[in-house]
Amino acid sequence: MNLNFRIQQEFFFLLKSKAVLGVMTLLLIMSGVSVVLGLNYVAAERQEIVELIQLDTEERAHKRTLAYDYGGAAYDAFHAAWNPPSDLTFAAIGQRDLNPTLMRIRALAIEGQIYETDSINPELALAGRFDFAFVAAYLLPLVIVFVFYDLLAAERESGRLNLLTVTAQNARSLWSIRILLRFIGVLIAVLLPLWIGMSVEGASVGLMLSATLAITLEAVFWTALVLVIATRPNFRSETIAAISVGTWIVLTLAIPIAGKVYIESSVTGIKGSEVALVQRESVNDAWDLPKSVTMDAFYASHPEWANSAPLHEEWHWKWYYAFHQVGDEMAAGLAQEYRATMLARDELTARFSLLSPAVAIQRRLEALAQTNLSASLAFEDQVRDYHEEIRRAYYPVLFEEVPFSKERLAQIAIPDFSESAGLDSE
Amino acid sequence: MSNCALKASELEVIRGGKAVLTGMSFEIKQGEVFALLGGNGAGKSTTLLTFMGLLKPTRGVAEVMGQSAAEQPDAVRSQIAYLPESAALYDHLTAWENLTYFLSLSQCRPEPKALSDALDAVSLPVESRGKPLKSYSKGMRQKVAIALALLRETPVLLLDEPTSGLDPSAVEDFHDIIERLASNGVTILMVTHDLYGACQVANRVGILRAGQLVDVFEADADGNIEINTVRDLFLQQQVA
Repeated sequence: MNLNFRIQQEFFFLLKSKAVLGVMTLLLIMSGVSVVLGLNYVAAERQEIVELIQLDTEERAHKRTLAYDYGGAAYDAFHAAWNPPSDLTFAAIGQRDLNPTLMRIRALAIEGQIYETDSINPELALAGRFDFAFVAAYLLPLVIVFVFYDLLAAERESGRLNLLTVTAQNARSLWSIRILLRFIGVLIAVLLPLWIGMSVEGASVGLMLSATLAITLEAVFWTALVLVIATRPNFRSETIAAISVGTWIVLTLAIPIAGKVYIESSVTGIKGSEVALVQRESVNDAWDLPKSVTMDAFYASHPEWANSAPLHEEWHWKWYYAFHQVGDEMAAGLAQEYRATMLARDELTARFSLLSPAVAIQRRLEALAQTNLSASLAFEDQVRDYHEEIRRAYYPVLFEEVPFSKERLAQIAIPDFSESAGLDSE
Repeated sequence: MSNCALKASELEVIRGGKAVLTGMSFEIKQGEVFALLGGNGAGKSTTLLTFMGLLKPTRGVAEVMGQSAAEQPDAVRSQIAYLPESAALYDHLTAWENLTYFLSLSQCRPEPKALSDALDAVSLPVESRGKPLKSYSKGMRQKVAIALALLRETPVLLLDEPTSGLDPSAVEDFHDIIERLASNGVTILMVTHDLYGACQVANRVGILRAGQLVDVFEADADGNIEINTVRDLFLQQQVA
């Protein structure tokens, strides 16, 4: 009963501490705003996906009514490919700002189609997006600093510490409940909007627990760090505040910036646009080459079509698609190199995250939300596989030179991206 | 002394590299009021902090009810109520809220009547009790702190400059409370600059100088201490 009374009194004391309560409320508001913005973002993305699928379907159907050969039909047929937001994307938008999540692809060379959109919104990427991960990485530690920095010093400086210690009989019973209640208050302020957002998104309990655990561990780290500084016996409150904020600057700003500079200088590599450029140049050059050069290269890597009728001087779609495919193959090595560069940078970033809780929590939330580099690369792979399905659907009629008919064209069935990628149809 | 409540044996305490108490010894019986007089830096507050287990002696022992303050601080603190000089309570809380909060720290759940009685005992005006302490005078705050000490109902009371800043009427009220507590068997160690107050309320008065108890004056059969003698010695020590 006395413990309950003690907790009740400490809770009452917290409610009377206007500054602490105010900063917790501010955190709640910031977290809430980030969640609302995130939910709006994913709702807009989902709406965009739905609209794109519908428009693409309508456009493809219309274009097929106008088609008079298979190559032209394939050329005009765009297929939507999308990386659907997960139940936690609203909280950690991550790489979705940088890498494409929505594409319209067709049977032409794929590498250009992927990398021509590799930097959707560079201005926004520069400023950074205000999402829950930002609140957790940058604002949560500052709130913890504010809530805990003068916990002890304020009592010492006001002359209350001795009275408190003697009355409570020991420091443990004096501080444990006050620290615990403040910690829980901070956690609720930051997590409540996240929980509501995840409930709205229909996230699983497991995902909720994982996200909660990640945030809790981050909060424990910062609380412990601030308390280690705050309980130094001779530090005044302003000294504690200065050291705590200085530590925040080092861990959340200086180390990530230094890491970025180090990673960019130590892991150099090509850009996605260079992959697209090589592929485009290969395609452009092919117009000026003898057709046999392109076709020999194509048949060498695709012997299944080697028995196709020889080409003559006149235009033929199978030559056109062959040089697109050869263009992809010319750029394949560079695409792998680009991917290896990104993975190497990502691995180094993971190492830097051991020094910076801000980087660590962002990476963890992005991993849970499937908005990290791995998820982007997995989406690229799905798009490549889907593109291969599109090619395979058209190549037989092109290389076997099947006479064109609307009925035969209608038989060329290309699955929806969600089927191809095994996405939840919802 | 079988009924010894507080005992300092060869107490030596070093703070910031300087010896503040240098082998001080005394004993205080249960129900006795002992006043320690001394100038600034004489070691008065250090003595109290050592008895509360907040400072560890480099030599000697400070005992409260037979327990070492350095070795069993939790047990010792459960026997002690402490009244600091600045009556440092929470300004944003009312008298009621301060008392309830501080008592919850010592695992006590006070009845409203007990709070009311304690505040009556220190003559805190009823209309002030529901107001935050930031609207109180220093004397009123001190009264709340005294009420807290009363509510703790501990066998030992340590007072640090308890009448500092109080008006004469409040000092008289305070002395009455001290005498009442002592008659109920509470042992009181009071450190103060207030020579006259100490002589009025204490059974014994000790003069502290440079960490040493240089003299002790005991009340006569009528409970009086020869104030002129104490004053002369006190002033002499101050000058020295």
